[in-house]
Amino acid sequence: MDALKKYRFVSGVFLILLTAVLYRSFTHSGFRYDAPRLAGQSFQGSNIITEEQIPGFQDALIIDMSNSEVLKDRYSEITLKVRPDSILDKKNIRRMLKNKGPVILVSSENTISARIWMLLSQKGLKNIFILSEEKDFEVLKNKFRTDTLSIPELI
Amino acid sequence: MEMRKKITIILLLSGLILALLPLSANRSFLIKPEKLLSDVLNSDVALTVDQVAKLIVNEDSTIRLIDLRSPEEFSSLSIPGSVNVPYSDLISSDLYIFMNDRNIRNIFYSNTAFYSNYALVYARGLGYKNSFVMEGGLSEWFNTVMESKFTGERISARENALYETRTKAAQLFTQFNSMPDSLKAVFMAANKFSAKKLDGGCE
Repeated sequence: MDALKKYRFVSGVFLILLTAVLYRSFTHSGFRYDAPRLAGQSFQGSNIITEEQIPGFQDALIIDMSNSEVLKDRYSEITLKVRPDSILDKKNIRRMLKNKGPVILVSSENTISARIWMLLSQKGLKNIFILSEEKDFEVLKNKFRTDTLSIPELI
Repeated sequence: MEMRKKITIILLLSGLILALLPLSANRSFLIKPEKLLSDVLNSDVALTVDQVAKLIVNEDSTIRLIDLRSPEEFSSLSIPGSVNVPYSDLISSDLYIFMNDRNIRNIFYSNTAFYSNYALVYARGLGYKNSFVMEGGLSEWFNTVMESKFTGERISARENALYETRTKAAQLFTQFNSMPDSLKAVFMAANKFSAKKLDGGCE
């Protein structure tokens, strides 16, 4: 008791400090800090893979958000069917965090996978990839001829 | 006051300041994950190429098309009226520089779906609700708008209007991208962002 009385001022300040830290921790949005760094893996398509690469991954987990059963048939043991709007459910997040290997997002459109990827990355989940049918990343395959009667043609 | 007490006070006050300061210059998403997920899965965040074509033809001043590709790709080919903010620049900069006007709808596009959709989530996560994406990117623009053909069969009034919009947008696109580089450069310079200095404080 004497010790407490002796250090009451310090204890008081410490409690204020602790309250401030706890407040900052629990009122945060739920995303990690440093959004630019977390988005970094999306540069140059380093987070995009094709189906041929799946067998090369160890302990991969496929999060299938598509309507197709093709992947589930081919990789039934490592595929988890998830609706895009339930990707943040605790059991799904827990499963992704527990997985030792990469998490591979699959959907019928790259649009959905791309959005989910960014969201999950910002939550701090690492080692997440997007499965794409296209090997080329952000490549425009249409050709444009600079004349008024130009008709674009595929390369 | 004893030296020990002085040091204790200084250390504790320093700790208090550190705990309450904003986390340096690091940016973090402001919206709750569940809310952001709901927002970005909503179909309202995406505009079809036909919708974008109509906005361009009508010279809608409430939109800004943001081309996320490299400067080389942008100067070679782009949608008329768009501004170039390479994806890497968008991510590493303060979005306020590019998207400070909340009355303008910012529509991201790239060659396909990736960069534009990453940017959509990124911008909305940082609180920029006026962020949208053009579905399918330039690939879809070419497939739908530039390759629009009139088959000669009878079509409905709605289909006819759609065809007309596509044709006009394709003409604008062709004329703009057929301009000599010197003229294009002048046109593009008029659409570049100028960096806005932050005065500090909240928006």
